[in-house]
Amino acid sequence: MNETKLLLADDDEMLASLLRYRLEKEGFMVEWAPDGRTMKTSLGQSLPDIIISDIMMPYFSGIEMVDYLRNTLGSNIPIIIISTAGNESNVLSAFELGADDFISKPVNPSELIIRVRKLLRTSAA
Amino acid sequence: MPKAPLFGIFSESDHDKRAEKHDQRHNMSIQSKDLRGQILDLKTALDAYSYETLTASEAQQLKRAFDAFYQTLESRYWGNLETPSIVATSQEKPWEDERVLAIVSHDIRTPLNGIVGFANLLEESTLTATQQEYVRSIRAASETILNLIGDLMAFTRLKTNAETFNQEAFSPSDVLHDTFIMVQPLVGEKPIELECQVASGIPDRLLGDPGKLAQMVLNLLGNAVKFTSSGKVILRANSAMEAGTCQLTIQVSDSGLGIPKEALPQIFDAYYQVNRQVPGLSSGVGLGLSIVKQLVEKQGGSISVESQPGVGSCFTLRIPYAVAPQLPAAPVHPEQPDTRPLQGKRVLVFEDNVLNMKLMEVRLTSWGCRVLAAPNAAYGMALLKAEAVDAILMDLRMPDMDGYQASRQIREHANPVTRTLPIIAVTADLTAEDDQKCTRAGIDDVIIKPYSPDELMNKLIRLLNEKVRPADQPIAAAVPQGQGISLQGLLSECSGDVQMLEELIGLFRGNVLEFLGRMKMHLGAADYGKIHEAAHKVKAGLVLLGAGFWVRSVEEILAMSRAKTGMAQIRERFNGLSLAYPDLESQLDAGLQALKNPPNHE
Repeated sequence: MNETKLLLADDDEMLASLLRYRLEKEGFMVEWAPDGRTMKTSLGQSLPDIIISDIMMPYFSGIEMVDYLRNTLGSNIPIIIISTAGNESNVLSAFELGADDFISKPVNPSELIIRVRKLLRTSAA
Repeated sequence: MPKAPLFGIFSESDHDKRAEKHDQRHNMSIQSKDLRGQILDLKTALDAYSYETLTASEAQQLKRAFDAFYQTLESRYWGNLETPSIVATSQEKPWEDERVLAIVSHDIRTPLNGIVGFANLLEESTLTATQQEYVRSIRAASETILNLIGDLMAFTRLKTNAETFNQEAFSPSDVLHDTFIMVQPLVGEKPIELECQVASGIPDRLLGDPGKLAQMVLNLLGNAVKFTSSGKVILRANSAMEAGTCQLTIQVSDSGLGIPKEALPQIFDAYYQVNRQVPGLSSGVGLGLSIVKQLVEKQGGSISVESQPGVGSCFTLRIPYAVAPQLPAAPVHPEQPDTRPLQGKRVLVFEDNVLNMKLMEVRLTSWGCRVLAAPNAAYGMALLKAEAVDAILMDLRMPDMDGYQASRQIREHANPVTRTLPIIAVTADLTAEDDQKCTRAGIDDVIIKPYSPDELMNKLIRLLNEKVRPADQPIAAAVPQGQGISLQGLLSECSGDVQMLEELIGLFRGNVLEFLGRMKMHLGAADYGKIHEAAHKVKAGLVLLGAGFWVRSVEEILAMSRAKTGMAQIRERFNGLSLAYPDLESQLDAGLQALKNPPNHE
C-alpha cells in the first residue's frame, strides 16, 4: 500500500521541521516547500494526496495556490491552510476558492495530524 | 489665465491627461533644469495625484496651496517674460534685480513651506504604495525648489551686503561630521564611497559662524556627489596656526566628471553652469559656487579648484578663525546620561530655517527620537492637534509668529496634556529681557546656538523626567529580566527526542537572526509590508518556546504593520528585541545544556 504523500508549504523552517518530524513519525511521506515558487513547481510535477500551506509565503501565496489548484489544475485534493491571527479575510478568500480546512499558528502538531487524517478519510470515501 | 503655448499641456482633454499621467508615473523625478521647469514637474506630480480616492482634507489644502502659488507666479512674474529661467540675466539694473529676487523668493517660500508641510502630513497618513510614491515625488520637487529659493535668497543677501556673520564658539569637527552625515542620503544608488578625514590637530573650539561653514561644505559636498557617477568623494580637513589665528583648510575631492580647463575661471561666477547641456545633472540656477565664494571671501578666506576632466575635481576652502577658549577637559556632568530615555520620544521642532531643521532632525533621530518638523508656527499648532507629542523645541524667531507667542498659545491650549508639554526655546542670543519673556511665555528652558549635542540631550532628558505623566508607556529599551523560555513544550512535541529538539533550536536561532536582520533592513526602507512578512515568519517559533516578551513585541509589530502605522513604535519594539537577543541566546544554551547533562545523573 502506498504511503500518503503530503506537501507541506511554509517558509518557517523551524516549524516545518517540527511538523515534518511528527508527520513522518505518523507514516506520512512529507515533501517540504520553503516558498511559493517551490510549491508551484512541485505541484506541476506531481500532485500530492494532501496539501498543507501557510497563507502567506514568498513568491506565491496560499490563496494563489488554492486558486491554481482548484481552477487551473482542476484538482480536488484536500487543502489545509495554516492561518494567523489577523488574516481572517485571507482565510475566508481561501475557503471561497476551495480550501477545505484551516489550522491557526502556532500549529499544534497533534491537532494537525487529526485534521489531516479526517480529510483523507472523507476524500477517500 | 493666459494661454501661451507653453501651457498647452494643461488644456488637453481628460483622456489625454490620463494617458500622460500613466507615462509620467515613470518620470516622476525632476527632469527640468530650471526653476520654471521644476515647478511644472511639481504641478504634473500633483495632477497625477488621485484626489478622488484620498478624502483627506490635507490633500485639498495641498492642491489649493499649490494652485495659489502657481497663480501668483503666473500673474506676477511669467506673464511677459521670454527667458526660460525666472532669474533675469540683465546687467543693466543689478539692484532692481536683487530686490525682485528678494521679494519673489519670500513669496514663493511661504506657500512652498506649506506644500512641504502638507506633503509630510500626507506621508504620515494611510496611503497605498503608489500614493506614497507620488507624495515622495511631491516632496522631492518641493524641497528642490526650496533649496533653489534658499540659494537665491543667500545670493541676494550677499550682493546687497545684508548677510550677517555670527561670531560664536563652535566645534569645527562637529560641523564637518554633521554635514558629512547629511550628504550620505544624496548618494542614493550610485556606487560612491564617502570618506571623511578630519585631522586630529584641529582645535576643539573656534570662533566664527558654524552655519555658514556648514553651508559652504554642504554645497561643495553636494556638488561632488552630484557630478560623480562612481568612485569616491572625500572630505578632508586640517589646520595650521598662523600668528595666533587658526587657518582651517577644507578639501572636497571627487572622482567625477571634472571641469574643462576653459571653464575653470568662470565656475565661481553667478548663474554659470558647466553642464547646462546634460539633462538632469543641473537642478539649480548656478548660484551655489558663487555663494560659497562670496561667503568665504567675506570671512577673509579663499576658495580654489583643481580639476581634470574625466578624472575628478578638488575644491579647497581656506578660512581663518580665531581660537575660542577651550572647554575644561573634565566633563560637565560626572556621568554620561545614556540616550535610551529619549528612545521613541516624539519631539515637535518649530524651525523655519531648512538647514537648521535638518541638522536638528539628524541629531534627534540619532538619539532615537521621532521628529515632527514645523517650518512655521501655524503648521506646528496644527501638528499639535493631530499628533501626540512629548516635547517641543521652539525657535524664538519665526516668520509668522514669534516663539513667545506660540509658547503662550500652547500653554493656553484646550487640551490639558498639550498645556503641560515641556518647551525648550532655541535662539542665537538671549538678553536678560528675553529670558524674562521666556519665563512669562511659559517656556521651560532655553538653549543657545550653537548648542552642544550633550547640552540639548541633557535638557531634554531632564525635562522629560520632570514632566512624566501617569499615562506614559514604560520605555521599551529597558531589557526585561527572565524571559521565561521553556524548552519543555517543544521537547514534548518532539516526543522527548533531544537531538530533534537541538536541531529545531538551531533552526529557531537562524529564524530569529534572520528576523532581526530583515527588520533592520525593512525599517530602513520603512516598508510595512515586508516588516509584516518578517514578523509573521518568526512568530510561530517564539510561541513554541514560550518566549513571552518576544511574542508580545512581535504581535504588536504585526498589528501595527498590518495597519500600516506606527513606524516609530515598531522601531522601538525592534530595538527592545535586539537588546534582548543575547539573553535569549544564553537561555537557549543553558536550557539545552541542562537537557543534555541532567544534574542528577548516575
